[in-house]
Amino acid sequence: MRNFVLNNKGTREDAEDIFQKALLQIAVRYQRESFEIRTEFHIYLFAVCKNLWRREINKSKNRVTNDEFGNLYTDEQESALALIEQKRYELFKEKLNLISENCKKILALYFAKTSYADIVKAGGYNSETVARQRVFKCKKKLTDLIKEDERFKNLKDL
Amino acid sequence: MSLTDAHIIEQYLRGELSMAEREAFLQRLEAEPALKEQLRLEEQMQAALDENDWAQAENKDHEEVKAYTQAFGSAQTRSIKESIEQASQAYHATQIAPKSKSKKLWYFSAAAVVAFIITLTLLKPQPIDTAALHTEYLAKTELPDLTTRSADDEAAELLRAQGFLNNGEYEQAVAAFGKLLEQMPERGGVYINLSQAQTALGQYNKAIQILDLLINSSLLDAQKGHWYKALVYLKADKASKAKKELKTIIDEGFYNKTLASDLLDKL
Repeated sequence: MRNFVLNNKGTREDAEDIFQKALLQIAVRYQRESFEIRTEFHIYLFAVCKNLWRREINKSKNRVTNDEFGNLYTDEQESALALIEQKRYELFKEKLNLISENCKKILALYFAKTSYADIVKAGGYNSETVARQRVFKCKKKLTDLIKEDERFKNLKDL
Repeated sequence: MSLTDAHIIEQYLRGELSMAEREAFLQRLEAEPALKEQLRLEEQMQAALDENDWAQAENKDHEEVKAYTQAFGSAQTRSIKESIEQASQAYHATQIAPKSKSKKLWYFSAAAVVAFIITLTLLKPQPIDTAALHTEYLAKTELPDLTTRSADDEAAELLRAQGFLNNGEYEQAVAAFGKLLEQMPERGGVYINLSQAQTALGQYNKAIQILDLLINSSLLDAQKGHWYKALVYLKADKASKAKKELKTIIDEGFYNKTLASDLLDKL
């Protein structure tokens, strides 16, 4: 976890802060809802830490590009928003794991903003049109699965 | 959604539309809610599933965000936070030589995780006392007062029926409200009070049937039926069915939405 933060523009203190926030997030969530950790605890803890750090980086980027005083939240609101974002992320990942391996691979490239020219090369497709159709079908499958889930109703208007 | 629309959404998200195309697309979004919803979901997926990005939420007025904001500000959460911080301080206090930092950090991490797991065990949710919640939330509910808006002849009958209910004479209340329901099916409060008396007698199925009649009616009080159904289910120890009703109330913005959200959190 520390290495992840240090390798992504963070400091040792940032790593410790994120680690503490992640523990708190899991404890508070566990108190309020019956959620199941489906991997080993340390793997889940790392995922939460990683996402909290992604959040911090994203916030810094937005601070640079947007009005700094646009959205001010209390610490508790920030923690609550981060927790619900984590829940939404888990829903997306859960559904992503339900689709085919081929779809997962092409969507990983797509979400990483890989150009279609590179997707064609990486996936061995005949043309960009074929790759686009493939992305379209895989994304539709994923969005349908997400929309069908009752939890999404609560998570979409964040 | 068509392949063409999917392509436009992609181009929009990747910043590949020209100014004119972008303007036209934004105008379409205003007129096409389904397209807007699809874009929103794809934006969220894109940001959440791209390792170099993150889907940040902003809606602090979202019901669940509000509930968690409250939870993060609670005394119990502060206490957990303090425990974690104390573990951190303990690590710093024992930090002797810079060379041993990584090992010490590992010890701190391990100690914090162990402390955390113990805390989780202590905080493990207790079995829910649905009957107690029923009593608590029924007390918070303003039951309909049937006597104030009635003509004199009706008022006497309603007063009598309500008197039975208030005095705990539930069998008489069921009989009296049952008759009144036949005479004045346009009074939502009669359904509610009848269901209350039935619930008190343990006649949960009958109470649910009466409340379903109310819900399926065109009366102004129809939406209140969901709240009272949730209370009946609580009394009957059917927490999952109560939750379903509460979610409906919250999603649809029905009567007692705030209380429903509060109660759902406790379930």
